[in-house]
Amino acid sequence: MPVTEPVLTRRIPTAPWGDPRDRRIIGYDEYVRTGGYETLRRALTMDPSSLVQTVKESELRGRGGAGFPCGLKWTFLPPPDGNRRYLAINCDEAEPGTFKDRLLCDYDPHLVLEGIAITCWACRLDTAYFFIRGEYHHQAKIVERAIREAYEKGVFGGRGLMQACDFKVDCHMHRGAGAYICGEETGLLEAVEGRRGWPRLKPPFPAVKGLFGRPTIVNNVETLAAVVPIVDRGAAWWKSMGTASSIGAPGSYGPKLMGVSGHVNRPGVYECDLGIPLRKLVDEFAGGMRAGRRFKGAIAGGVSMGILGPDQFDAEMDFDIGRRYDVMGLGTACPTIFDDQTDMVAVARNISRFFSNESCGQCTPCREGAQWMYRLLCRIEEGDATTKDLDLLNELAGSMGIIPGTTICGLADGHNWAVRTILNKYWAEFAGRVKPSYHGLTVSAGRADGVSSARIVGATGA
Amino acid sequence: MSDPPPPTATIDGRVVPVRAGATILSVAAQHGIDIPTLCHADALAPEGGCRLCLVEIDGQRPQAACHTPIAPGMIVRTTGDRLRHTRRSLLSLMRAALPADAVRPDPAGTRFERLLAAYDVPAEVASSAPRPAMDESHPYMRFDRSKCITCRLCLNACEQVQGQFVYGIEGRGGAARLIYGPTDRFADSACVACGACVDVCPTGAITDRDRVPSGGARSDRAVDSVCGYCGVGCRGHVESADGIVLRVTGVRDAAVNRGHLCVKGRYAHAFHHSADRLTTPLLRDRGGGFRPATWSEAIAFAARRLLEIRDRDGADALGTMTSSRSTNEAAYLLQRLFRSVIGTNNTDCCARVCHSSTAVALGLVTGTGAATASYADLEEAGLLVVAGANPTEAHPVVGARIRQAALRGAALIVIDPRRIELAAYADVHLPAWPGSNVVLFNALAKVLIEEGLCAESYVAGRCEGFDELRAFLRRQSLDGMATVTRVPPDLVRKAARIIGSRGPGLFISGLGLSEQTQGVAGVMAYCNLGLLTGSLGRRGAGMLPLRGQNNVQGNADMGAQPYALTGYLKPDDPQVQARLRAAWGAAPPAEPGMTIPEMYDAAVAGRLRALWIQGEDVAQSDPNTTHVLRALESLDLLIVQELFLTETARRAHVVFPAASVFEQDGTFTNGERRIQRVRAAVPPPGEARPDWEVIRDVARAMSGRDGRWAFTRPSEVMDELAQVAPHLFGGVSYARLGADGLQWPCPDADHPGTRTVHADGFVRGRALLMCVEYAPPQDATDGSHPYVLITGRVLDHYNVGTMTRRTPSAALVGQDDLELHPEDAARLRIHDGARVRITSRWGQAVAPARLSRRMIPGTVFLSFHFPQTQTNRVVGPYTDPTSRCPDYKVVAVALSPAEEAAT
Repeated sequence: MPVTEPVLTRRIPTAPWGDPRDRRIIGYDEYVRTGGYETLRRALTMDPSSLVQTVKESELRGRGGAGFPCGLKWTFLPPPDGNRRYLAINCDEAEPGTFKDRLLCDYDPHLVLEGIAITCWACRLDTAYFFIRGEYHHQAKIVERAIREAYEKGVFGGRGLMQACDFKVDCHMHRGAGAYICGEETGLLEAVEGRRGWPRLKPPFPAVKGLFGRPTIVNNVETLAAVVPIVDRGAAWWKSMGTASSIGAPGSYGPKLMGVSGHVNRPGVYECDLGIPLRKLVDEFAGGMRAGRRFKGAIAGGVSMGILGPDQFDAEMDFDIGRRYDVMGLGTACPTIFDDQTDMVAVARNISRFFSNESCGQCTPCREGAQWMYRLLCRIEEGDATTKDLDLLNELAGSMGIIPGTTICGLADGHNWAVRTILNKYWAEFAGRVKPSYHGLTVSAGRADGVSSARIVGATGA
Repeated sequence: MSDPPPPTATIDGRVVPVRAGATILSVAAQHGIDIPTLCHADALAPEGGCRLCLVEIDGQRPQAACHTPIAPGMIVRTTGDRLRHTRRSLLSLMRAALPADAVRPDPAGTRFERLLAAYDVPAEVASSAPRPAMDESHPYMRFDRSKCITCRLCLNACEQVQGQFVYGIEGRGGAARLIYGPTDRFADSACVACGACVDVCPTGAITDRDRVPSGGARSDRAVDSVCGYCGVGCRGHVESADGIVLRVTGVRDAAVNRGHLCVKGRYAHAFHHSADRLTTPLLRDRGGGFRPATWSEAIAFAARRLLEIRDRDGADALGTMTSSRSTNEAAYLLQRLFRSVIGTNNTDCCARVCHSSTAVALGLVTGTGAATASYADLEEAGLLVVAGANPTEAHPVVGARIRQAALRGAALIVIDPRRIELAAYADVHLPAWPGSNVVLFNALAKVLIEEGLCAESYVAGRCEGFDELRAFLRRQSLDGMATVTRVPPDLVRKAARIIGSRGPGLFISGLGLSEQTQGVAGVMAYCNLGLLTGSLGRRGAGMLPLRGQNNVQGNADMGAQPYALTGYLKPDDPQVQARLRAAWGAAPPAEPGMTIPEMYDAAVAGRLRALWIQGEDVAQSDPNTTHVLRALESLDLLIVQELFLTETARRAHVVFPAASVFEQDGTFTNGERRIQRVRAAVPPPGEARPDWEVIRDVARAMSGRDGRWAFTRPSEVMDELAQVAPHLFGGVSYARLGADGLQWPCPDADHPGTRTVHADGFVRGRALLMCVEYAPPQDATDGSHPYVLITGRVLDHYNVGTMTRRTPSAALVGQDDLELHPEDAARLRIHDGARVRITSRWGQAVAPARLSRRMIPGTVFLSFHFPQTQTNRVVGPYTDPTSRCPDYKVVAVALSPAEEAAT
């Protein structure tokens, strides 16, 4: 079912329900005046485990990119033992083309803070670290002011609201220093602990051993914001929006913030139901393609998810998108739209440059391979490459990531999928830029219909 | 009913048992299946970055074996075409990131080079990376960046073994590079040169500079032996060629050090082939100089003069100081010579001037004057208290383990006037004013008792004197005590509550407790804390004094004490007398002999006429140097066994050239009572001989070839020791010592040795809680001597530096510095590096100032490693009344800029 009213954007005027020019920061008083913190007040009268149950029943899937069921993640926590338990809020929104969490921070920070407080109560967590990317200077100030207000008004710090139930939550802001890898949940934990943001080996998972060796839940900003309406209006209401899975996977329910960028008339964040076709999102929300241009492709949701080809404009934006359209997944549901004048080789080169800059350097294939891929793509773009280089590029990309087992975290998978899906879905564009290799035809024909062969399972993987 | 079969998994077709928590890599290794790695080392946490150890698992994607737990039913393949291809790609990527000529595939090369060869990575590579310059700034380690693959084994070893956190990674992605401080110079880094990183580096990027460069001589001989520096007793693997030690590495599975060493044990070995080693016996000639002599001449001279003086002045006119640097066998024979052939108990050793107070106090409290715990307890203790010790500098391998324990979460309390390195890791640091140990420990005990934090059943069942102690402490106020210790009462309460709630604990101490005029009292008050927390006689807890020298424990054990015989037997016990008469041919006198300070006094007074000093430069190491020199110069006969012509040896009548730690066989006993084998790695230079052989020959010359002195090898000495003191050593023999030796007591041949003493009850029955009254230091500060001087060691040198100054360590630290607080420096108008004159009531010294907030204002610190400083001229004559241990830790001094004073 489609979304019929703004949910997460209730206080943030957004088309089609409101005019973005009316947006302003919602302070504590206005938030409360419009029903804010009522849900928290009610939640505090409820048994925490029933709240976890509600979120579980809503089938809320994480909004940070991986889509892991939120309620299930919460149940991985061991029972409280009297010592510290943490919530880490992932606001390291560093994926190129993704800017949906920024909207919440910019205008309605108390919605996120209410979600934090409810989650801490539900999961019995006592300390929250709000990890915000370094580049979000402005947002950091807004959220920090909101946290201060929340302390003053007794949301945090164990006074006011929380005093009655003898529960104290502290919330601290931690600003990143400009590294994409700190958005990886364990890289984020390392960074909060004051170390280099290198992902940790798993297991143990954060729910068991996270911040400072203690049980920790890591949730995305939008996920936490979604907890408020779910607790307020119930799981059944939440599931009335969105769609069930068409392939027997967990469903894609509720509204979702979708940030549209690229060659559209009205780029921006829109709140839609999961499952909306990309064409509808572009035409009805984002004002359609730029005049006279045709759709050439779209990054599904953050560059690491790979690309939707020219014939995939009708792809449904839900968590099944990966399996159905040869991309890695829905990601953050923030598509970047390319029109027919886009040079896809340049797109691949640009994305590769991002990943080789952002590789943390921990695992050999990502540290070294990323640079090789970037150099190869530069060479292809400049017309100095041969067909053999395309082979090498494809093999190199396919050998990198968690899926082939060669890295600790998924950063290299993103690089792998972005480059390989572009390469395979726009094969002719690449093939036209390279000279034939003198070492025999090794690539050519078989890859021209490479979209289906791009069902990448990893070069060495099972 | 039979137990269900243990769960299994399959690796390369072999069925292997599954252990909970074990990784695929470790299980495979146990079954001889080699999985290649470049970022893994057994003792370190998995890093997981190199990805070479990828394996295939049925039903899963490929996983890294180093950090993937093995699970029941898993079917794992470690080889195959696809894995080989992946590994080859990974190796090629690493190789391609390095300069073209940096590494080559080599089946006999480094771990990286061997893998390049095994996976057929081409030798030629198109790499444009420039070759950076080698960092050779450090005397012991070099770094070749062109070989570094940023595997981070060095970083992990530095953090997880040494706890020094020298290394970091700078930049990210392909720009990631290893750094070690703000510059690309090891010499400027925080590195303490323990060498742990060198041992794990898989590419040869970090290497030892004491190695012969590749392509040079390979070692032709290797033995496992024991380090000759501090009392930790690390086992080292000593490789040599052509009679010169090439390198020392930690023995990987050694019980004491588990492969770890410190800068001294690993690198400071060059002294043994120093050009100024003594290579021939020396006799004083008529002109006052020395002339070389033959061994038979020198031995005959020594034997004749010893007998003459004994016959002329009586046996008690002779005395000896055995060496804590030499072997048990040498110490045993030398005290036996004096006790049986000459007939005096004037036998002492340098334990007198270091841990004698500790031994006396522990003996009084428990019945045994040695550590009750072992180093293995460092890993098991939930609470560690470190008092008057600076282990990260003076006992680095133990210091590193204390730091690791604190990092793991054990509670750590540090009690020291200086903010030593460990203070940064401590829950509480109590900077007690020098000389106030007794009061501080009493204050802690008072809080423990008055807040009900004591181990009540332990105290009731195993101790005596609790009521008296409680009454004694009730009469004192914490505020009053704080005026002496200058530690705020709240801090004392906080520390006591941690001790009480986290105990039983391991109570570690050093010379900061022992070398005081209230040394014995301080250690007894410290023992009170151990007893009140129920720590003595428990695993993971107890008293652990850190012994300063490689064999200082052994020297006391062997009987190098004037009031106790071999194995701490009492000289006036008729049974002991009878046993020794049978073994030695003559029993020692029942009366105790003289301690070292008493021997100096007797020499100056003319009562002591002959002295045999084995391997100790007392002219530098003992306090009140002026007095010591006068004593040495008053003697009719001074025999010195030495490696070098030290200040003491210069005053000798006969000098015997000695074998160093690398040149003789025998045993050392470390601070946890562990008797370990020392093995010769190289022959002694020239005619130098092991001490024990020389003593035997002098004894034979004196006693008319007595058959009781017919030892042909050191193991025979040990066999006699087992008979003489069976209660401690009855089960000790070279055949049983094995790799890791035995910890005494080991009374019979089936006894496994003792890790925890007093586990089944105290040797003296019940342990004594002592009411210890405070007495102010005798060398009191006043208007003319307003500062308190503390003396001690620094990491890179060892005691008076006879050995370490003759190694490249001199390039690390080349002088003694006077540490003082910037506030004091400002008041005295002394800037950092300026020369300062330090004047006490006993003498003066000059040293450059180093401004340091480690000090409490009003206190200064000076090491004593360099002869030009003459630190011990400043230290006074005061000693503990019971142990006779000198007070090196509280000396009242005046400070002034040296230039000014010189004009």
